[in-house]
Amino acid sequence: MSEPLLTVRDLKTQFYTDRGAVRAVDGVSFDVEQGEIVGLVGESGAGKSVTTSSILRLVEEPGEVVGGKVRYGDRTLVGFDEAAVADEDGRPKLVHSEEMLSNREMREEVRGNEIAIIFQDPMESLNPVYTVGGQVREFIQINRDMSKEEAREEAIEMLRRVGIPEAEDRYSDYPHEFSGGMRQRVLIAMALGCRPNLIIADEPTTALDVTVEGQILELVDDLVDEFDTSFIWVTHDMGVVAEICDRVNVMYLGRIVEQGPVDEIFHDTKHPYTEALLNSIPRPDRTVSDLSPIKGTMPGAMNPPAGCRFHPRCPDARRACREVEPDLLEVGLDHRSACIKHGEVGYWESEPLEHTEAQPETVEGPR
Amino acid sequence: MSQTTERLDEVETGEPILEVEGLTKYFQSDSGFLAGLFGSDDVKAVDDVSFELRRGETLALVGESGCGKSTLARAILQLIEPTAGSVRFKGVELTETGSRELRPLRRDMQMIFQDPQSSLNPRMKVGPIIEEPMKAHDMYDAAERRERAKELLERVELEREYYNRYPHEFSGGQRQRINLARAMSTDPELIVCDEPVSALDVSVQAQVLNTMRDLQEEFGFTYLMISHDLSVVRYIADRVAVMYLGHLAELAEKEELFENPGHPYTEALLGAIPVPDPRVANARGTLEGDVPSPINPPSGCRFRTRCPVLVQPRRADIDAHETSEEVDTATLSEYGMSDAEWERTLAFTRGVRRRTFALREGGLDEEETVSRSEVETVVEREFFDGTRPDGDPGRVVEEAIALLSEGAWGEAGDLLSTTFEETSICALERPRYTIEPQYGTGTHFAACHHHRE
Repeated sequence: MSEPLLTVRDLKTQFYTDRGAVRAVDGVSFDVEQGEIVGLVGESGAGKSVTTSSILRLVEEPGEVVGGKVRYGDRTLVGFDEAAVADEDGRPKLVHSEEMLSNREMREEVRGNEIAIIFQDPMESLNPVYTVGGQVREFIQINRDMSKEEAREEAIEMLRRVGIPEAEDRYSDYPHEFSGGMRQRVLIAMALGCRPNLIIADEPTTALDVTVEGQILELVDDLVDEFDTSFIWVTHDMGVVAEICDRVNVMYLGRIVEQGPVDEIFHDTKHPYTEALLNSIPRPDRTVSDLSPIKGTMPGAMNPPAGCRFHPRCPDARRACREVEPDLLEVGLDHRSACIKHGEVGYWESEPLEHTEAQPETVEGPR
Repeated sequence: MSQTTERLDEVETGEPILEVEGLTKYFQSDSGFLAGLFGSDDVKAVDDVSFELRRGETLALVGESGCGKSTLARAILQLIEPTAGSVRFKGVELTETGSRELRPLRRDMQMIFQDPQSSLNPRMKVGPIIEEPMKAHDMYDAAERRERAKELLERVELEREYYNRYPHEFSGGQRQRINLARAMSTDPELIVCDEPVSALDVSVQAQVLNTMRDLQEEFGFTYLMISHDLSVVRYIADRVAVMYLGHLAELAEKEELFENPGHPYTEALLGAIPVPDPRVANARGTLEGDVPSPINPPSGCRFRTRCPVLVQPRRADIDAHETSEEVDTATLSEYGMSDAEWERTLAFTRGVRRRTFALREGGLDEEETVSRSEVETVVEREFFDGTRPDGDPGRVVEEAIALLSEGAWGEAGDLLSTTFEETSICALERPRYTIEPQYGTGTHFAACHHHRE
């Protein structure tokens, strides 16, 4: 296999609060190959969006990327070296590595023209006082170094491609004159118009109706076929994941708990969280008589549970799960799971955790 | 008067508890001072909707944003005044009942809202929040209310001790449980739930849905559940009503609706939901275009402007240029296009109307024109691919191509639309049919002309 387009290794991002540091992303690693759609899936608070903004170095104060490496082709987006001088506690101090791109290089050479990002809320990403067409045109003009006239033609072509009716006429409309679905399509047109290699889509269809979502997923498929564009698709919707992703990373509380090809994630599930997540969702294609919800709620990232972070809610938790921090272990071809069941640290010899002990929140039924 | 202040007679399980007939709600789209002068256009949010709700069942009202489902629910509860139609709750006509007489009835009808963040007063403790409806209806004394609130907390699988806490201390799922407890406090019969779980994470959704189900079993609640999520609906509903642009498109028992949908809109909706299984291929994005404006909705079937299976029009013996205002459907003769010809002609009509293609790569300048043969090539490639209808429809297509080469998109669109869309029965008559169910025995209502004899 050739070099991946994007490699993320042991990425760590923290947010500093009055009550201490929150490790929102805590050692995340994954790859994106050319032309594939990689899913980043999890519930709110799992750290999906922080991961993508860390890749593009868009994390803002009080947050900071504190470790790990992100390579895009032969460029280093995030990189650290150990400094010659240790910090006060005698630990090696990390400083940004030399090959890491400057902020200016990130802005001018990477964001937009190489890696584009589409956010969930299309109203906040478009400027309400400029015309839709003008914004798309400007974006293309800057990122592809085109003349104004060329960029305008390209913008209209892109608007048409993403299914905006009467693209030429609607070019001079303002964002508020567009419906939510159309605004989302405008953002996609904007991202595509710059012919990026990689598009990071952060819940781009979550706020949309299903038929509009369907239209957009269809469009994404076409684009991958035609331009060989790669995607990182951030979502909480396992349906969308099944529909479009080639490979999937399941996140829980700042970590990837399982990663693998989409078919294996759904049909040869290796992590109890993924399993529980799949069992808790209602199905549109068949009538399920009983759903088994995951017990409790995801704890805050401030004080994550010791050992495996999922153990307090895990139906398979054993005593060892409270002590051992699970690493991602190979469980199949290109398939990894962070569950000590698959390792040799004594899971099977360990005692199962009592039901009540495993749950911080008592959820007793009425019957 | 006295009969409404007393609690009404019990309705047996399975008997209609709520009957909605011809319910209509128009909003004035313009309330400015000139609106009166020019005659404002109404937003037809809900237009002549009828159904009934049976005691103990869960009826889901589904549809995409803007279809009028929330307006319908609010009009049923008389939270907004309906423009026309009737709503009978346990036999009492709500639309004719004054607000004072309505008050005691409200005890039996409660509502849960979508957003668990904003539906709880942040400055009130959980206990008083739950007691509020009981207080409003003068039920029980203070001590009894307190005890009941604590009991309700337990019922919704929270703790009695939460009574003295504030809403911000709870997660989204827990807040929605508090909302449930509040709604249950007056011991209602009907609970209208507006997207009760759509703001929650998937794993928490299932918890809340299961609780709602258990409570229904125990207390016999009737749920009218508004949702855009068909997966959730398939899990919790007994019957499903699908709305599109203010009309009821279809209503059937759950299994029947999902397995034997009788309306192309329902089919499109079902086909678009992503299935959480990579081995199940879904058709998805089959629906083109956007929902039209409810200010000037399409005549007849409101879905017809996007319908993939619009019924091929018959035409009167008139010139295609004349707009046919009043057409007697019986006198129309078939165009007689083959299915493939009709499908492509319809695609061409919509393509022109929405301008989804360019006459020349890269677009045209204002004054530029394209030769007729060039347009011919583009149209042939984009739409017909050798399957062009002949006879009258063929001549109309040719005429449209001629107009396009002059840059007259609007005229070409109008010509095609009046010839092929406006004369379809789908545009002329509002469809209402009852069809034979394949699953279960319940009535299956489907508003699609494909079911006409």
